[in-house]
Amino acid sequence: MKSGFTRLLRWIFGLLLLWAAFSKLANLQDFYASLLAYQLPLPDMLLRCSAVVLPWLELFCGLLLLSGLWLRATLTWTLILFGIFLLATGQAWGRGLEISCGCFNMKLFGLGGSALAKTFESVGFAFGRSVFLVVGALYLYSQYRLESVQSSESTEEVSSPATTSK
Amino acid sequence: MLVILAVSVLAGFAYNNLTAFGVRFKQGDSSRLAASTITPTNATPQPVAVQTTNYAPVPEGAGPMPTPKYRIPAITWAKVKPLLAENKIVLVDARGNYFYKAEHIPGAVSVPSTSGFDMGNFAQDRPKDQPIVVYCSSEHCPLSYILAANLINQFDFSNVKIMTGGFDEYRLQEAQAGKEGAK
Repeated sequence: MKSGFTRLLRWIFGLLLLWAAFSKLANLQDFYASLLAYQLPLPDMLLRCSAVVLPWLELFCGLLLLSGLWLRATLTWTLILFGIFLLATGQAWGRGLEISCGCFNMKLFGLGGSALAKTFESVGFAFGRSVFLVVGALYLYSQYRLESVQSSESTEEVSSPATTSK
Repeated sequence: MLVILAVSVLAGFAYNNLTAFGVRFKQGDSSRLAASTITPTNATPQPVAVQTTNYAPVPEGAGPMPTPKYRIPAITWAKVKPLLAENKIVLVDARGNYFYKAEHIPGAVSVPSTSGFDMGNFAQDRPKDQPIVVYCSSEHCPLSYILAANLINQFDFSNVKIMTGGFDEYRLQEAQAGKEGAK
């Protein structure tokens, strides 16, 4: 995660996750209602638990992405979260559900109820956004793996110069 | 990975117990979805906001709303009550099944606004001009508006109204009526 672009992308994802987390934490019942509107074939208890836990998962992932700590685990969770968003918004969009995605609260920026907010919260837009998020998270994850391999190789070279010089 | 999940679960449930807007897990436990202003049974009922317009307002801040073919008239519990007693209307609870099972207005039928299946069942073989009144938890709840708009747009019902005060209005009005009756 040393290059400028990947670091910027990581920070953007971190801030997005924090925004999403605070939007949901402001009112968990509203978030639960948003989950119900997706009409997912899941038990109600699982939806309730998701409404309670998911915002905190987003919050911690956001903080860890910004800080650069535990990147492997954080990126894996980020990828899982974005994957879930992609599936949920995709099925809702495919079924033509006219619902709010419940992802981000535009009121935090004084834009609640505006046309921009409605577009941003619409399920079709949310699906498109999720595609970009998944692609971006996959890119970040691959970059992290690549750098991990490269750093482990260079460590081996440093630790055993005699072996490598042969 | 597991550490992040475990911390999230712990923080999530701790926060959920502390916040007033938390998701409730116990059956019958009130939540803002069921009633946005939770009124304990022994508390003094607060006055319900009087509906100043004849139409239900479009809920704000709840994402994109369906646009109904006609403006949906608003109605109060005071008007609904005698009509319901005389079987002149069908009262529909738009909240989720969980909340309906926990508590609902006697005589109301459950049609969760999030369930197209339930909506279809409800609309089947029902006269399109039948008077229908929809309610959800409170004046801030968007579910009644969503359901009413869908009944109008998708199933061509021509006489749909919204009890804008929702379950809160019913509960407060009945509590007030009970107090006056006890005097």
